[in-house]
Amino acid sequence: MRSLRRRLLISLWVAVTGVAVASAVIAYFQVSRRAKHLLDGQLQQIAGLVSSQRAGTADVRGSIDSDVEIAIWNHAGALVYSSTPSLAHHYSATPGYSEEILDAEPYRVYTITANGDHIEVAQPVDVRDDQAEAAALAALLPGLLLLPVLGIVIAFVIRALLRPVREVAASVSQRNTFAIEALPSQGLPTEVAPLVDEINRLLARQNEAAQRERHFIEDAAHALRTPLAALQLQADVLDGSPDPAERSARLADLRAGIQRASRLSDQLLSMARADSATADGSRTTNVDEALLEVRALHLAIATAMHITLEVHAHSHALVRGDSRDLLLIFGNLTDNALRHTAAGGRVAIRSEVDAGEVHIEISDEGPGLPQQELSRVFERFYQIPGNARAGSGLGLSTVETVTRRLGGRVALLNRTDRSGLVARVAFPRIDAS
Amino acid sequence: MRILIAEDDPMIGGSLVRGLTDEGYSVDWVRDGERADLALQDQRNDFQIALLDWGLPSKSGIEVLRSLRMRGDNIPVLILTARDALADRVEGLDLGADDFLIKPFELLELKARIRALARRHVGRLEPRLKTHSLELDPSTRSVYRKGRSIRLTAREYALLHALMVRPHNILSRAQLEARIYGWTDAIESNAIEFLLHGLRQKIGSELIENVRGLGWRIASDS
Repeated sequence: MRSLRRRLLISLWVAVTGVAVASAVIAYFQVSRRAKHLLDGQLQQIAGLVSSQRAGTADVRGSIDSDVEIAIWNHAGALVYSSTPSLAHHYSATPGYSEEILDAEPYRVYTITANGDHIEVAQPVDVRDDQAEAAALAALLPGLLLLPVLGIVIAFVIRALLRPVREVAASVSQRNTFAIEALPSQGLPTEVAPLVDEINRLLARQNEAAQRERHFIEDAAHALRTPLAALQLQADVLDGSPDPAERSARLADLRAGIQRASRLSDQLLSMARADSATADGSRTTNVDEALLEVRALHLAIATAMHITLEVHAHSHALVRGDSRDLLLIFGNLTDNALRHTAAGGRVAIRSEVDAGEVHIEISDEGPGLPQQELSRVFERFYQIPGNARAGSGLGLSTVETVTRRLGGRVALLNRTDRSGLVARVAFPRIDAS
Repeated sequence: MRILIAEDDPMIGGSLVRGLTDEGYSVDWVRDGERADLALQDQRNDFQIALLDWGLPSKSGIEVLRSLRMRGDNIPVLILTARDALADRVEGLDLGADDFLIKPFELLELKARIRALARRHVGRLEPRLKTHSLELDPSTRSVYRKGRSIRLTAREYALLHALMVRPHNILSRAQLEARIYGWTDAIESNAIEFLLHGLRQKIGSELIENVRGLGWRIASDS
């Protein structure tokens, strides 16, 4: 688990500590150099003081730090005064600062020649180093003491800034599978808000889909009730009659009931598939071939019903979609047309191209539909009132769903030349390339 | 006993007619609300129970029920419905439905509920019908005379049942015909007399009394 908070903390701590150490090192050297500079100045001042007050050298010596040694020679080179014997044996020719070893101990020596006197002021390097170090450490101490405080402050700030993110995470972990509410996105940092918004949009889409599914299941369960009720009764009355002919008639009814129920479940299945499928723009299908296949599939039943099934397919057009999709659309419409046409009638299927669109018409010679039913029949589970040959109310709804998915449209119209219904489907034409 | 079925699904309606006819009821079946309404308004039909599907075309079962109760008709009504929402059932019961059956249901249960409704309607709590030496059990459609079982045809049973439901009432030929035959049955002019003759032979002729010019009734206890 890569915790953003922990990584921020560690990297900030490392960076802050690194910078603090580097600046402390630089400061240490700067402060100690400046301290030594100050000590040099002090030596020079003492030398000046000694030359101007030669008579009271002992007083001078007494008034300054005991670790500073002084020696004075006159213009003839004779030792006039020396605070320590080790300095008395030393006589440096060069004026100014120098590092000397006196009695095996390193000294910082300042030499001047003034009023004929040769004056040397010396201070042990150890003492100087100790003083410089003390000064440098004194300068670093507050910073080093405050460093842990800074670390704690950083930890608190990061914690506070990441709180909204933690809260979102908590609210995600607490919700159940089907929670509808969106995640709280108020007060989120701008870096995180888009992520939460995106998740919320996804959640909304998911919810919509889940709700559609729930409705579908409810509707489907409801639609199954009638055929199941019929099956139950058909089975219940099976052995109610002693007459063999009546019994076989009842058995035939039961078989028809089972067929009805399984047809409904088929339709529910293809409806569910039509709902969940997504448009696959890559496949194209030849409309004419699909129509000829529909004819082949329905020819036997049309012949049995004494209905002429004609196909005039000369569009030579390609449309989007799988051949299965087209078979579902035209198969359903042809099925309806056959069901509502009486024996001796004619069902005609035509395809033609018009203004970049492919038009397919399936016309029957049935009674047609009342004007107000023409669009309502596309509603899911809608049944035309009092229609004895009514289906499940799913076929046309599925047809519309699939047609829309392929970018087309479908409508029902009453024929104007005679009684009958025309199902009109239009698809955008795809250029063969 | 005559029952009206108002049901638009052909398979359910057909099976109900078969199942209830097997049981000896005379059954009439309409497929939409308007016809159900008309059938119930016609006094000659003399239905004893109505089975109404909730989702009837042209006029819903609930509307048929409402206008039935507004006319003051208190015929027992059993609602058949695929809707199982509590609110629907409450609405139906408040509008004067006597019972509810949610589809799918078993024929056995429907028949038991029809018997219970018929019993309650005439104010009886005892499931069996009894008059002095005769006993009739609607749940098994068996008839006993002094404890001995008597075999009757479906029509004979229906006739005896009609007479025994209200033992003191005199029923005319038309009333008996209405209760025994449905619309689709062809009734011969002397069919009732013929049935009565057969019935009297089986249960004892003294048990059915002919009130001249009015009709028939179960003979009062002597």
